[in-house]
Amino acid sequence: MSAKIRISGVSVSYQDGDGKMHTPLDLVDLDIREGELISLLGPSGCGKTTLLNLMAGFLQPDAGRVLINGEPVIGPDARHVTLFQEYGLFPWRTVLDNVLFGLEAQGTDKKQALARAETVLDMVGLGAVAGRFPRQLSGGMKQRVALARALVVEPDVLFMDEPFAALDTFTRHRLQDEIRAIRRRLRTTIVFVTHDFDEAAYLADRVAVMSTNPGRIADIVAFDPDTAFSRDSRIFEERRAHVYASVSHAFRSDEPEAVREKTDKRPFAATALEVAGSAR
Amino acid sequence: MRLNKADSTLFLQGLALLAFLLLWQGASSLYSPDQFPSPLDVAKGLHEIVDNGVLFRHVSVSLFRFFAAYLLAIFFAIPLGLFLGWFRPLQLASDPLVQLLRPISPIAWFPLAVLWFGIGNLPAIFIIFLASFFPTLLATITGVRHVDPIYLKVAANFGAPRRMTFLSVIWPAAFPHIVVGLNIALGTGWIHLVAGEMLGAQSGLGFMIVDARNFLRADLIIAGMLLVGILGLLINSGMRYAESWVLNRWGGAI
Repeated sequence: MSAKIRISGVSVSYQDGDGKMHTPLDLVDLDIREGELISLLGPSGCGKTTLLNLMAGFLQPDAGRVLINGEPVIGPDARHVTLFQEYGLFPWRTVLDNVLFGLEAQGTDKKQALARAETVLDMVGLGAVAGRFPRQLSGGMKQRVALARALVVEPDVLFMDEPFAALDTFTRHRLQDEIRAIRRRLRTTIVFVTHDFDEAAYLADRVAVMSTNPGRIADIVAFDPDTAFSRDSRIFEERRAHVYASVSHAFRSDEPEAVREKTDKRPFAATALEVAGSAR
Repeated sequence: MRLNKADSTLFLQGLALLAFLLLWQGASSLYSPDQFPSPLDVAKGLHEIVDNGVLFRHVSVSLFRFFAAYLLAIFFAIPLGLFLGWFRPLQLASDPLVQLLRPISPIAWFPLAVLWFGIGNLPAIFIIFLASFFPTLLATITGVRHVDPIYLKVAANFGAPRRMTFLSVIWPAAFPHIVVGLNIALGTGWIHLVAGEMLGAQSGLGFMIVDARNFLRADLIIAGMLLVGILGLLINSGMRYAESWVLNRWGGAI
């Protein structure tokens, strides 16, 4: 099966103010399948958001390629919509007008746009607050608005950047269930960045566990996508244990391995540095 | 009886005003009324110019000049600010020029204003225009530059065309900043109204004050000053009200 999203040999590096090199992503390869929900799991600073931004077109890699449907990603695209942790709702627009934004951008007929927006708002349970402003809503409701704004343009891929990290557990659980419900209706491919094991284990068909410094994919945990399970089930426990084992493995061996890899991969750079040092 | 907080604040403010009037009365008794009139003398003078219609004429001329200049400043400063804020290279290029012109007091422009526009409405309008222009311009540039990048990301993500990004995202996102600038411009504009009218006009509150000096009417000088203060206060509180409405409507987006 050909990949929906193909990431091959992608690296991102930059120099900070002190002249130190950072490599948020180092030679990352990943294939994402049509219709799956894949979770990028890792601690902050592991480059998972960077990887998401590359796929969403907000960033360009320094090396390697990102293809979606076989086409290289050259910039943001309305077919691939991103949800941000901080929602990104326009505070001067009502809920309904926020949801209409994407349709306005596409020049959709007004009547049709309104009908579609109302349908999607009902789907995420916000039909009753369409006339309110974002500041009048709770965090969970705001993220639902952002979700509705994304879904209304019928995106091919949804990128979710720790969308529920700022919410309390109750709200987070409800929204996770909502994501599941939406997936039963639409087979949108979803890339879900999180640092929450449970979230990854609960939602994902596959979990890409990422390690830090340099950011790489350490392991991929795959589950049977057709198994139905609830939060209090045995299956969920097993999945969690699986993810946990993979993460702890990735991070137990993180430090020495990272050092070894670096010297392995960059013998040339190391020698050049030594030469420069001795010349001085 | 216990007073609630708002009432007791009002009471204290009334007390402070009374203390001020008493101090004024006391100080004025040390001088002749021609030099330093008492509050009562000023009230009498005020009554006189209200009765003979002089005051109304000056106030309406002043308000006309002020709002004409202020609106003109907004009309030029906001589009220019949006433009400079959006096109970063232009803003970088023009910044030294703006920073050079900004600290020049509008009053220093006065000789030129008279050379160019003669005597009358125009030099005063020009001075107020300059006083209102720069705060509005700078606030607009700041507003555009401080638009939360996430709004631009969202706009880009949904493929919003440039025009829509500008009108439906940048403009409303910068608007609360611009309103703050408009408020500042209102204050500086009003302050320079008196100066502009003192120097080159034959009417208006500033002229009224100079004219009163020429006729040694200290009571009318103080009456004029008080009126400038009261009208400024009224205009300002109107603007405050508008500002809080806007910030509230904009969801405290600033």
